[in-house]
Amino acid sequence: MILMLAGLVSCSKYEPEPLNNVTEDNVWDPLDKNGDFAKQMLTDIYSYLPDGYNRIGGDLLDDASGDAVPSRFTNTVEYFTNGRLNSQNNPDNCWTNSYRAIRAANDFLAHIDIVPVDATTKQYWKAEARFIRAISYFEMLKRFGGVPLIGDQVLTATDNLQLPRNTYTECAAYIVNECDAIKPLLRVEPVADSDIGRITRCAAMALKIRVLLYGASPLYNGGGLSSDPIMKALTGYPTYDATRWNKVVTACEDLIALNVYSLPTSYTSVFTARKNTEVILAKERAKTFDVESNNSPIGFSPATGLGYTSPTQELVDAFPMANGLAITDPTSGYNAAAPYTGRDPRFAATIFYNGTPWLNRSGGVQTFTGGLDRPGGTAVQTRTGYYMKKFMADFSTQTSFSNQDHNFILFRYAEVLLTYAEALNEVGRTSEAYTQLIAIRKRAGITAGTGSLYGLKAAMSQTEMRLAIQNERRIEMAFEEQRFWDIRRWKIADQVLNGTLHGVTITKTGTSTYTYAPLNVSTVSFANRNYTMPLPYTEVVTDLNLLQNEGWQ
Amino acid sequence: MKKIFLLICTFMIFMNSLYAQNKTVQGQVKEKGETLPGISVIEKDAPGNGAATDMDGKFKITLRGKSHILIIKGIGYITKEVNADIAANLNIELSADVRKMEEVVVVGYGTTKKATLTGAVSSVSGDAIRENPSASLQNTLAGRVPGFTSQQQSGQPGSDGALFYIRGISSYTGNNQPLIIVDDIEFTAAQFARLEPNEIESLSILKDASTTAIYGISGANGVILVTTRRGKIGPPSITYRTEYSLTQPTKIPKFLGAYQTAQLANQAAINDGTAQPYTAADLEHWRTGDDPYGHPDVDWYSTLFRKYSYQWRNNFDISGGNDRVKYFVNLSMLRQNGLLNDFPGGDPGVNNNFYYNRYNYRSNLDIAATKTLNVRVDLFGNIGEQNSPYVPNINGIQNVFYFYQSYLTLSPFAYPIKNPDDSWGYSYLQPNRYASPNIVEALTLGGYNRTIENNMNFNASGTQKLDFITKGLSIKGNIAYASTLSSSRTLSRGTYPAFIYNSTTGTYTPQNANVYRIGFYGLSYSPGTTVRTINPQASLNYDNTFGAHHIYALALFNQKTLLAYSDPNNGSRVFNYLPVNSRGLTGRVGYGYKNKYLFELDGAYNGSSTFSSAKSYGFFPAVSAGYNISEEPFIKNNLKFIDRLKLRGSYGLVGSSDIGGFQYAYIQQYTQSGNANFGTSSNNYAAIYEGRLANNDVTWETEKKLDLGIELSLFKGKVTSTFDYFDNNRYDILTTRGTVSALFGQSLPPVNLGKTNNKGFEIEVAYNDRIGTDFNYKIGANMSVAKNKIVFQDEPQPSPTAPYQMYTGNSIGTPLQYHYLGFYTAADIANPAVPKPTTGVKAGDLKYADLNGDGVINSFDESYFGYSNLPNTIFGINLNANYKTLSLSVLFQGALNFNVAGVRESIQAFGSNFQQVHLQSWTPDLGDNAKYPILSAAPNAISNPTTPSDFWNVRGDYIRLKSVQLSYSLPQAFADRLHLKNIRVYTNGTNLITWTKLSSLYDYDPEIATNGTTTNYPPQRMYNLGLSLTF
Repeated sequence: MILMLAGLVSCSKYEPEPLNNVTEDNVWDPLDKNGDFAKQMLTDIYSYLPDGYNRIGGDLLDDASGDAVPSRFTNTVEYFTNGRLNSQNNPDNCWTNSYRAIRAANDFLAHIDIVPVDATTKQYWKAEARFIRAISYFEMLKRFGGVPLIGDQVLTATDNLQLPRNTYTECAAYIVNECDAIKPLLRVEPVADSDIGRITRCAAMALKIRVLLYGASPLYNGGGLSSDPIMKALTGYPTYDATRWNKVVTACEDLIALNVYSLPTSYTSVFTARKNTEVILAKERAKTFDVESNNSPIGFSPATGLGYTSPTQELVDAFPMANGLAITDPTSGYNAAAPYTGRDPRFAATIFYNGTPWLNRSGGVQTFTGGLDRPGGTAVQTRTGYYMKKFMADFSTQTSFSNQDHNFILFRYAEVLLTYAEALNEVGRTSEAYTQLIAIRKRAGITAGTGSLYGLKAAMSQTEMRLAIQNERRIEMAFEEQRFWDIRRWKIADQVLNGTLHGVTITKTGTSTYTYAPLNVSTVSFANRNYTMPLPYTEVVTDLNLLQNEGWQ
Repeated sequence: MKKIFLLICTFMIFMNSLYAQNKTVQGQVKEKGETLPGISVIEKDAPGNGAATDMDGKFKITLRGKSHILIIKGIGYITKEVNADIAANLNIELSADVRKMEEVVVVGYGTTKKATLTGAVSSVSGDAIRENPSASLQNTLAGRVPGFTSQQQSGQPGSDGALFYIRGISSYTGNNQPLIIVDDIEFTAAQFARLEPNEIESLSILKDASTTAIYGISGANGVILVTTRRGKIGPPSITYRTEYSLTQPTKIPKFLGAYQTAQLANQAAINDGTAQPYTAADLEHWRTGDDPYGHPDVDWYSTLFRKYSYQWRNNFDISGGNDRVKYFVNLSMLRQNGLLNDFPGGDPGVNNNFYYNRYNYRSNLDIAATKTLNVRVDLFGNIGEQNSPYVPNINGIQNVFYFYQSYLTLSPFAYPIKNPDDSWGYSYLQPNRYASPNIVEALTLGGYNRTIENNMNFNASGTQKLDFITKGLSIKGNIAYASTLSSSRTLSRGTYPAFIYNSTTGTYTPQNANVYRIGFYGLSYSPGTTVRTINPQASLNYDNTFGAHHIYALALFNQKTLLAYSDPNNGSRVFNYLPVNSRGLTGRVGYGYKNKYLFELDGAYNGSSTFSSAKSYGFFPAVSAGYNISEEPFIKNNLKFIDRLKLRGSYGLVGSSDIGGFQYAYIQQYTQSGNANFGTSSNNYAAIYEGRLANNDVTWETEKKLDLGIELSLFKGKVTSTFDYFDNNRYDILTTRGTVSALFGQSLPPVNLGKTNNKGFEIEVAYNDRIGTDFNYKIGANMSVAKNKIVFQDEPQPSPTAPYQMYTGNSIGTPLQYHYLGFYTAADIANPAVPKPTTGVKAGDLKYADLNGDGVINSFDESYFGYSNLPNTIFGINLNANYKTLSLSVLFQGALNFNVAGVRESIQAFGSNFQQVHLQSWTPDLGDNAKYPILSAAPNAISNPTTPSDFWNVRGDYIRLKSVQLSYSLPQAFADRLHLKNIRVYTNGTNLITWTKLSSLYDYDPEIATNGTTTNYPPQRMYNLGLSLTF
């Protein structure tokens, strides 16, 4: 028996631990000339690029910008507009993911030289990782203000992690410097079709433009609301400096001068074509129809829409008529009894209104009271009488959805033009800003009109021009996660996000006749502390040197 | 199966009658007038010929030899030899052997006498276990054994085993389940649950360091030791036992009918200011029931569930033996059916109900191979078959009880079961309901899921006495093999037609326009997991007494290899069939002087291959001592009423390698997962990322266990009492650091840094006495308290304004919740000084305390308080009375200091069907006397049960009449006439009556899982009737 036992004990030959794991040595392999695994590490870093669409608990971030409300009640995106936001429940908390991206990039940069891939590829890869690190900082900067800068360090568990926040100035300078440094190292446009979606030279320039734009904007350019000077330096430039706008102008001109990008003639194709002349950088996604199924009207079968997004009347009213004139302009031709006719073509590309042709239904979308897409009862449906249509492919004559390109655009040329116009106006070159607005309006399909001004008022003052640019940005880039941040940097959120948001009640009075009545859909509030988001509570209690933003616990 | 049993029974009766030859002697064995059962009577010339006395102390033996001398012996009595020829009917008087009468206690790798035991052990006998007819073994232990906490969360046939712990829990990340050893083989909780009570001789629970340290790395959660029955010398004793039980849920919520439900739905709409969903005419239809198709009102409880389900159990065992071979053979079957009604119309032979069939077998053989070599060969196992209906998946939950409870699947007016034309009914009466099929139709036509599990075990050992080297030395080798194989088969279909009948027009509309016929069955088979354990052991044992000195020692080598997909006790630990080896040396040295001063050292040096080699082995020593004060002359001579007064104490280290989901945490993994897209043709590129960092130092949890005990026995054993105090400090609990900022950018490895303290006491008191000669009784009570506390877990200090959000310092599982103050009144709403959440709160919503005083109710106002779901106090009260062969035993069992919360389908209006409590929802008149916040179809989050608060998280304290048994042995004369040794009829039951604080809000059994969206199959109450025949 003892011998038997001894036999049993001794003949157990097994590997002592699981061998089916990828290890550090596999990934950073000095023999891997193709960089097979290193490439996959970089791919993972790409997955940290900011995302969009229905990412906030199933809703769009723009549902908290006044442009829309979530169709589902008590959804987390409303925390931004109903005062419930606090440091424990921020539904748009990018902190952890940003620092994960920064570590992944630093780790990549620290090890990639082990892998013997060719020098050019390695140069691109490193610059791409640095770009994602930079944009990760910027995502935090626009939410929280200055955050701890890690540099190139790959932290270990024994390192001091009680890091203080760097100032806004330091963070912005770091990002801009990184953009400048990697610009010559990145791929130069045009890139091969198979490389669409990779970070290019102009992406770094576009990021720089956006960082400079934010820094020049009222909230950050000495206009911070903090009473404490330390806090003010953390959340913006402490003092106003008009030359910050000049830097924006220069940066825009640098990019425009390269003449790489242009506005394609079709506005909708910008969002539905993987490759086009306008997109500078997009988060590439697999082909899906999630945007359609999440946001399109609910009354269609079998191509079910969930109708999660309800654009507000405020956004609808921001769209001018096709002649470019605002609907408040008595000469615009706006008819309150037929409010959706004769509007800026971008309106129909952005909003489902009562009658939008969709999925081959006779008469189109029905958002009149009791209509198929607004049946009443407790089903999730539009709260405003509108659904979001932007980004969707044209399904007006199909009967079901099919997979589509839905890359989420991070930078596009129209934004550069709008930024350029804004900066020109701010530096006093108001008359020069017309060119950019006209280019955008022309592409949108607005008629040239008197003096080929595309409905713009001639000889606007700086203030008038500022409002025109703000409105153009709103409608041109609706639902692209711009407005949410724009109303903050312009410091107008406390005006536009305090009060009541509206929709419309449509009553069917005949076969195709309707009456329209305004409808209060949501009461929103915006306290000044909301201009900067709270640092995550778990961070403030673990890193004791982190100062929480003012007004937050 | 039934037929086989009858056949075997008939055969055994026949065999029995063969013995009626030669000279037969009979007699009765007594001690001081009291009859002694279980005494061996052996013929001296023919050691293989023996008998045992029955319940009345009587025996009968047919002599084969010539001397006619009988040896009468029994444990605790002085052996006596008697000449059988002196009388036709022998009356034999035995005297107690004071030295040997001591109770024997099973401990790890051996037995010891209770009097000289220095550790904390509780035992329960197989007989006591059999008083409870429950199918799962652990369910019979609640209230009987101090220190044993259990929580039965499900009553589903085949899965009704309770969760159980010894002395509460100590780890917040690791597994707290005790080690289970059945005759030297380590069992999983599932295997343990399937053990047949009829096979059990005794069950011990080892609680302190001195008794668990020998298990080293796996003993920290306590140990359950099960000893099975073995053969005794004597002619074959054949027992056939059959039991039939009626079972019903202890508690299941019964919902309001359609009329009240509709009224409440309308009330909610009034509260919300929305249109009322039901008109006065609708209500009138429901009130009068005059439109059963247009306005159905179905009592789903009586539709779905039968009043009683049954359990049928048969046991058949043979035991006996001679001085060479002893045997115990047992065959058992258990059959349970389910709570669901039988619905006619299904396919013949397709059983869609719940059921469970189990067949247990055991053959325990003891062979005296030579005079000094004993061989033991045990073969045992069970085959189980569990069935459950295939119910469509609704919201990711496939559970008929979810259907039953959910308002959105099965409101009282959901649909008529059948239409007037006998087609299956359906309706769209409820807005926004889940797309669930007609439940009765699903249960009739949907199919089933069936799992078959085969548990096979083999255990062989040889003990060689080495008295030729030195007296009292022996060597033992043991090899155990345990395996479990399972597989499941699903026969299901998803489409079956149902029609909406319009009672006004008499027309039928299909529920789904694409389905007019019954679909085909789909068949799927999945091989379940295979678990294989090989466990060889070798030990050297020494036990000798030199005058007043008693010395004993054990040295043991133990190796265990587990081959399984995942840890059978913890599915999150995935091993992928990479063997998990544990190996080690165990030792024990003890010394006793005159049974007065007792001293023992225990220890184990063992390890597990789940840790890196440098950290895989640990040493776990324990020391214990006992002092029998009652052996001192000053007590022996002066305080004669004291039989025993013992003080004992133990202290030591024990480990737990069952560290939760952190297997192989010493390996840094790079994970191949995720992707990104590039290119115009949307090429998907694979990604790899750096995974959680490795910690090369990950190792087991260790517990320092201190136990101090007093054992007392007074008045010749009439009063007995045991008291134990324990203080366990567990440290090195694997914890992910909480104070590290996310700036680090990567998940951190677990580190052995957590500390908890678990202390408490156990007290057990019993009194037994006799009135006259035929009536004796015993009253016992026990109570156990185990309070744990998290001492350290690297938690960050909360913000100074919310210091109460510190989990450390609380007991494991303490909820983070709001404190309920009352309901908001209209005046509160109007008053800006009353703290409120930032949105939409109205009168009748729950008002919580504003702990940080900022005037806003938000997550910063939650604090850790209240009790966890695991009771920290348990108790049992046991009453036994015997009059001649009539005996009664009653067990009350209770648990205190735990909280239970229900969410969504278990309580929330419009999630759950409406319950009585919703009738008492808030109105201005009820105010704070309301039992439920204001009814609303879209309640404010603050009033939702998913927002944790002490309004929803209520005390579950309960006391229940756990089991009662009344047993009667028929007169011997009657049994003799049937050639039977004994006939016993008995009735018993379990979970008979429950009183619980939980009923202040919930209509559930108090042991139900907390925070469940829905209840499981509810635990069952059983009424059992049994018959036992001994041949």
